[in-house]
Amino acid sequence: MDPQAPPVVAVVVTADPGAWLEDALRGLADQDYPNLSVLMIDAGSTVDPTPRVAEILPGAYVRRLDRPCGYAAAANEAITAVEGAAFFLMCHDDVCLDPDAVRLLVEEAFRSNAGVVGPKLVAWEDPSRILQVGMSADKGGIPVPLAQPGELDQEQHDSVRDVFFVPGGVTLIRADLFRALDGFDSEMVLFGEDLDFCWRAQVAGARVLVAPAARARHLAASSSGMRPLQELPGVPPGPARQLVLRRRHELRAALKCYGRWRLLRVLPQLIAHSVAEVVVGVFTGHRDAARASASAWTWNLRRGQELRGRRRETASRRALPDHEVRLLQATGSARLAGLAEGLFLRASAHVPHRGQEALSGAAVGEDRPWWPAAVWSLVAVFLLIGSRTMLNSGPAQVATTLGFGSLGHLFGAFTSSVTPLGLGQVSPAPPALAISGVVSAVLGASPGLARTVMVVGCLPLGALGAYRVALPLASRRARLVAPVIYLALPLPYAALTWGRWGDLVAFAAAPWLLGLLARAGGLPPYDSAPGPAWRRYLSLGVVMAIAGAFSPAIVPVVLLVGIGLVVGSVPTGQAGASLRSLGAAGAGAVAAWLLAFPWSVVLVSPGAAVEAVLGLNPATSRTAGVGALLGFEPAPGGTHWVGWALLAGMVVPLFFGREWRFGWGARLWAVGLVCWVVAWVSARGWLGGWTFSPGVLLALAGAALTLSACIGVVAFERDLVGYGFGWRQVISVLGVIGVGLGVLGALGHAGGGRWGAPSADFDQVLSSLPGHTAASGFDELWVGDPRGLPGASYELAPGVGYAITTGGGLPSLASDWPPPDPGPARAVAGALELAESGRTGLVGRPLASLGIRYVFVPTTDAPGGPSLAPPPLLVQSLGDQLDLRPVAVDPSVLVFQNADWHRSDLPPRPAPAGAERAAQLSFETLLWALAVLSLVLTRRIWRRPPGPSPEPAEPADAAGAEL
Amino acid sequence: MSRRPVLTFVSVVLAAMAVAGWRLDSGAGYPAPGPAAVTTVQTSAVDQEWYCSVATAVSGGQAAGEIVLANSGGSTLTGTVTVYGNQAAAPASRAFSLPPWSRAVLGEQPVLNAPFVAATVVFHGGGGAAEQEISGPLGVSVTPCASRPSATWYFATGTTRPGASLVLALFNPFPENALADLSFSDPQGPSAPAEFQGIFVPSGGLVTIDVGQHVVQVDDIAATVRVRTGRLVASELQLDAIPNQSGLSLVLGAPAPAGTWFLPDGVEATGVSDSLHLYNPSSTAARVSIDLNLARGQAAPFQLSVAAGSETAVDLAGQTRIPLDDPYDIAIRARGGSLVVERTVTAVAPSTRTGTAAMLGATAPARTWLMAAGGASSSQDEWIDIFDPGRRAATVRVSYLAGGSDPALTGLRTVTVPAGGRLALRMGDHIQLADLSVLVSSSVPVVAERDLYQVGSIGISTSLGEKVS
Repeated sequence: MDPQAPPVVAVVVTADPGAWLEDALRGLADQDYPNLSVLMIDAGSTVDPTPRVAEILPGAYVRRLDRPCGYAAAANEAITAVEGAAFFLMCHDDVCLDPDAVRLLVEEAFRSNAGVVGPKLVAWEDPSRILQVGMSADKGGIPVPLAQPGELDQEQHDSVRDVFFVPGGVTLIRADLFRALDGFDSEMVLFGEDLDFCWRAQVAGARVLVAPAARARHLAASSSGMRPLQELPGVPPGPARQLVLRRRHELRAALKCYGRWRLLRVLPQLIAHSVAEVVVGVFTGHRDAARASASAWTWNLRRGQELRGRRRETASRRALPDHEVRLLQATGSARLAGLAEGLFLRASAHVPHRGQEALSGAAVGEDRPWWPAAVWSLVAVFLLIGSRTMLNSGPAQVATTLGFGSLGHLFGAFTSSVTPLGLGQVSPAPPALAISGVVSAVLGASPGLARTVMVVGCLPLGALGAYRVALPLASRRARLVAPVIYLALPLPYAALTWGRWGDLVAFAAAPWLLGLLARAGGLPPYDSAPGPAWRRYLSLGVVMAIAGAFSPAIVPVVLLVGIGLVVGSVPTGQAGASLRSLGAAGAGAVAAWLLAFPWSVVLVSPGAAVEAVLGLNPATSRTAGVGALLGFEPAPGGTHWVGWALLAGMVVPLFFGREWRFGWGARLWAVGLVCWVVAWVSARGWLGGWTFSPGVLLALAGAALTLSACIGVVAFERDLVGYGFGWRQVISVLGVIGVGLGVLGALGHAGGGRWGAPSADFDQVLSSLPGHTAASGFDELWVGDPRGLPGASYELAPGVGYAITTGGGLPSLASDWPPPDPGPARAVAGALELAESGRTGLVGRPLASLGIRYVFVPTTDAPGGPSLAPPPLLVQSLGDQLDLRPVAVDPSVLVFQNADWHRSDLPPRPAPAGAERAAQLSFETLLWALAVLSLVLTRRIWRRPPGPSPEPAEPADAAGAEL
Repeated sequence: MSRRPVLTFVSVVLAAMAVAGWRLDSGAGYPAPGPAAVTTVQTSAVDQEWYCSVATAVSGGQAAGEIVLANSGGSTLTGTVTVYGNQAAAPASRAFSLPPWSRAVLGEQPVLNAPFVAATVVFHGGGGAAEQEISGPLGVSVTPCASRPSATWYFATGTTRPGASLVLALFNPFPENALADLSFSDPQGPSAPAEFQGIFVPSGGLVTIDVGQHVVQVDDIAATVRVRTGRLVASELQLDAIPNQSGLSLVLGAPAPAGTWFLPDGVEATGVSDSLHLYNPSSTAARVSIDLNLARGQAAPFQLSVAAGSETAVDLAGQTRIPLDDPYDIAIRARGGSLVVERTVTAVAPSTRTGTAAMLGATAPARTWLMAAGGASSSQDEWIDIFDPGRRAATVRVSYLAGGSDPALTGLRTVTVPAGGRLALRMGDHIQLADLSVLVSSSVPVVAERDLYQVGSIGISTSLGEKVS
C-alpha cells in the first residue's frame, strides 16, 4: 500500500450474489492501485458471503447488515463505517474491473477535478460490446444512453467527457462530496439512485465524468432478471416492479433536483408525458407501463412533505443554476420516443436486457436504434395526414358509419326493448351500442368525438395489432415491417370509402385475433400463455365479442381461420397443435356468443334473416371478383394492384423459409386461401343467407399474409444466408420490390385527408325535402344496392336490400344491426314486389299505410362517393307508380315522394317490455363482469414469473408473451 | 417438411381461383326489365291503372271519346274513371263496378266537358282492361290505353297535308309536373323546333299540340316525345278530311324502338292502300328485312336501310310481288339500329270499306289477348287476325265476355293457326253482338289484331289487342 496515493475504499454492496461474485472480487484483487481497501456490505444475503470474500480478498472488510435493505441504504453505510478515505468506489457485486481501472479513475478525478467518475461498462461475456459509457437523461429523468447497448467497442467512445450521470455499476465518488450530499437517496431502494446522486452532484457544482480508459465488465444481474429482486420494504410486488421502481425514482429525482422556476415549466410536461404513457399503455394492453407511470405520481405525492425537505436540502447546496445543469441533459422527451417503440417492448424496464438481446445476436437488425422511432413516426405522419380532414370534421354518415346521436340516445337505444328500426319491434339491442356509449362517456360524453376516434382509430389499432403479432418473431425489421404492410393493404381505405364500419373493425381486430389463435396453438415462436386453457379461450372470446358486436361476421370467420391453420399445418405434421387453435376459436366463439346474449340468441333463432345482420351481398356483377379479392379490395375497382404487389413479399417464406418460418408461412397462406375462397363463393351468393362481408374475410387474410411477409423478413435474415446465390435471392428482391411498390401505392390514400371517404352524406342533399331532417313522425324507405343504404338492410331480391328509417334525417348507429326478423316491415317488401311485378301502380297506398312518406334509391353510396347502379327493374317500377312523385334532388339519390302519405292508419308500435329488458341487462352486465374479472384475476395468478428467458436466443419471445 | 407440395397447393388454388373468376366474375347483375310493354292486363294485380289517350268531349267534336272497360276475370271489379281536360277544368271521376266477364262503356263528355280529354282508369283488382274509342264524322278508331308511362314515346307516321290535322296529346295524370321535348323526322330530315322544347305539362294536365300549326304541309312525319322530367303518356290523333282520303285514327305511342315487329294483317285490294312506316330513332342506321307471308304463297322480302333518325315509308300498294286480294302477315326485322313500325291503311271507293287507319305493330307475341272494344252487328264488321310468328302451330280459343262467363264463340273453341301463318276470323260469322269483347287464348305466343269496319259509313279501325299476363 502506497501512502502517497489517495486512499480509495471500494464499497461493494452485495445481496445473494451468484457465481459471478468471485470474478468481481478477483477484479478488485488484481487492481494495480496502491492504496485500495475493500469494504463488502452484505445487504441481507441468506448465505453469509464472508468465506467467499475471504478466499479471494482476505484483507477485505465484510459488514453484514442485520436486515435487508436497498443498494442506496447499504452503500450509505460507508459514510459511517469508513474514515479517512479520499474516494469511495461504489461497486455492484456483478462488476469485474480491469486491473488498471481504479488507478485510471483516480487519476482522471484529479486531472479533471471531478466529483464523480465512471468507467466504460462493457458486456460481461463479450467485453468487445459496450453497455454504457456514461448516460444522459431527458428533462423527466428518463435515462438516455450515450452509446448504444451492444455497440461494438472500437474506441469510438474513448474520450473523457462530462456526462449527466454515470451508471451505478462502478462509480468513483469523492468521499467528501458523498458525505456532503448525504450519500444516495435511501428512499430509492433500487434503481435510479445513481441518476439522483449525480444530478445532485451537478447541482452542487461537482463535475461528473466518464473515463472510458477505465473499463469494467458488468453483468447487470438484477436488471436482466438473473438475480431475483429482493423482497424489500418499499419494493412493490409483481413482475413489473423494476419498471415501477424506475418510474417513481426518475420522477423523484426530477421533483427534487429542479429549481422552483424550472420545475414550474417542466412539471406540466411531465404530467402530460405520464398521461400519454398511461393512455397508450391502457389502449395497447401495456397495463404495467400505464400502472408504473401512474403509480410514480401517487408514490411521490404520498411523500410530499419528505420530498419538500429533500428539495430544500438540494436547494441549499445549489451552486449551478438549472440551465447549466440542463446542458448535459438530452433534448426532447425520451419517454415520448419510447412510446413509439420502447414502451411496447417494455424497453424502459429492459434496457440492459435489450443490450443483451443485441449481444446474443438473435435479434438481427437491432443495430439501428433510430429505426423504430423513425418508422413509427412515419406511420404516425401518414395516419395524421391521411386523416386530417376526417379528424377535423368527422366521418360523413355513409352506409354503416352512421352517427351516434346523443349519449342518452345510445344508452337509451341499448336499454330499450323496442328497436326503432323497421316499423318498431321488440328486440334485444346489440352490445355495440353499449360499447359505443361507454367510449363516448370516457371521451367526455362526446359521441361525435367517440365516433371519429372509433372510425379513424381502427387504422392505428390494426397497425399496432400487426406490430404485436410480429413481436415473437425476434426481428426488429419484421416487427417494423408489420404495421407498414398492414396499413398498405387497400382494405381499410375501401372500407372507409364505402362506409363499411364492420370491415374497419375487422381490420383493427384481425391481427389481435390472429395472435391469440397463434398463442393458443403454441407452435414456435408463439409460446402458450401461462395459465389454464379456458383463460385463453375467454380472452379470445372477449376480443371476438367486442369485434363481433360491430361486425358479427367476425365470429364465424375466426372459425374459418382456425380451419385454415389446421389445413396449413398438415404439411409440417403439426395439425394437432393447430387443432388447439381451432378449438380455441370454437371456444372463443361460444364465449363471444354468450357475451353477446341475448342479442346473439336472436341471430340464430328460427326465421331470422341472418343476412340482415351479417350484411347483404350486392348483385353478383357488382361484387369484387377474384382479381380484386386477391388484391385485398372488397369491392370492384379500387387499388387492388397494391395488394398484388404486396403478395410478392408475402410469399417469400414459402420459398426459402426454414423450420418454423416455413411452417408458419404454410399455415398463414392456408388461412389466406380459405378466406379468399370463402369471400369469392359468398360474394357469388352460393352460401345462401350466410353472406360474409368480403371485407371481414380479407381483413383476416390480410393479417395472416402480413404476418407471412414479416416471417419472410426473418427468413431473409436467417435462412437466405444458408443458400447459395440463385433464384431465392431473386425472389427476395422481387418481394422487396413488391412491398415497396405496394407501400408507395398506399401512400396515395392519404392525399385527400379522408382516405377517399365521401365528404358529404345524404342528409345534406335531402335536407330540402319537407320534413326530412326534422323528426316529423313519418318513415322513409331506402331501397337498392345494400351498400348504399344507411345501416344494414333486409333482402328484397338478390342484390337488392331495403331499410326503413324514421324521419328526421339519417338513422343512428342502431340501424347497423337491425332485428334479424323484419317483422311488420315485411309488408314493405310485399308492396315493392307487387310494384316490381307490375301488379300495382299504386304502391304509395300500402306504403302510406306503413307511414312511409319518401322512397329513396341511392345511385352512389354517398354524394360524391362511388357509384352504384340502381336496380333497373326497381327504378322502372317505382317510376310507373301513379302515386309516387319523383323529386329531383341530387344525382346521388332517386327520390320518390308518396302522394298518398298520411298517418291515419299506421299500425301501433310495440310497447316497451321494460321488465324483461331490465332482466336481460342485468344478465348481460353480470356476464361481462364475470369475464373481465376472470381475465384480470387469472392474469395476476398465472402471470409468467420474472426470471431469465428460457430461450435467451429469442428474447423477444418474452414480449410476445404479452399477446 | 417438404416445400414442393405446399407451393404446388398454393399455386393450384390460386390458379383455380383465377380461372373461375375469369369465367364467372362477369356474372349476372340486376335483372333487366323486360321489353317495355305498355298495354298489358295484369290478371293477378291488386290494382291496375290505365292511361287513356286523347279524345274530344264537346258537342260536335271530331273524335268523341268513350272508354271501353272490360273485366276478364271471375270476380267483380270496382274502379274509378277520372277524366282530365286540356283546359283549366278540374278532373272529374266516376266510379264503376264490373261484374265478372263483362264490359262497359263510359262516354267521356258526360263526365267532363272539354275540347280535348284524356282519362285514367283504376281497377281495384286484376283482369281489368281499358281501351279508348273515338268516333266522329270521319269514322271510328280504337286504341288500347297505356298501362304505364314512359320516358319516351315514338310515332312512326303522321301527316299535316292540307285537310289533315295531326294532334299530339301529352297526358300527365301523375303527381309531379313534367317537361317534354318534341322532335320530328320528315323527308327533309330530323328537326327539333325550338317551340317544341321544354313543353310544360302540369300535374293532372293534358297538353295537345296541333303539329300542323308548326310543321306545315308535310306528307309523312315521325315524331319523338322525350320526357325531360316527370312522366307522360303520349298519343297521336290524326284527322284526315282530305278528298278520297278521309278518316281518323288514334294511336298510342311506342315507348321504345325494337328490332322485331309483327303485323298480323295486310291486303292489297282495289281501293285499298297499305303502307308501312319505319322510323329509326336510334343513332345508327338499321338494315331492315320485311317478310310478307302471303296466305297463298310467299313474297320476296323487302330489303332496305333506314338511316339513323329518319323515317321511311314502304308503300305496299302496287308492289308486283304482292298479289291482289291475297292477305298476308308481316314480320319486320332490323339489324344495326332499331325501329318503330306503324301500318297505315287508306280505303276508298271502289272498296266497300272506306276510311283511314293507323296502328303500331307488336314487338312480342303473347298467349292471351283481350280486345275490349268492338262489335259484330249490322253497322259494324269486326275481324280478328291471329298471327303465329313461332315455329309451332298455335291452338287458339276465341271467347267473349258474356257477363258471368267467357264462352267460346261458336266454332272457335279450337282453331289452329299454322306456324308462321295467320288466321283471319270474321266475328259476325260466329256471333251477332254490338258490344263484343273478345279474348284470344293460344297454346303458343301469337299476335292478335282487331279490325273494325263501319258498314255503310266511313270508318276503319285497326289495332292490336291488349296482352293478358
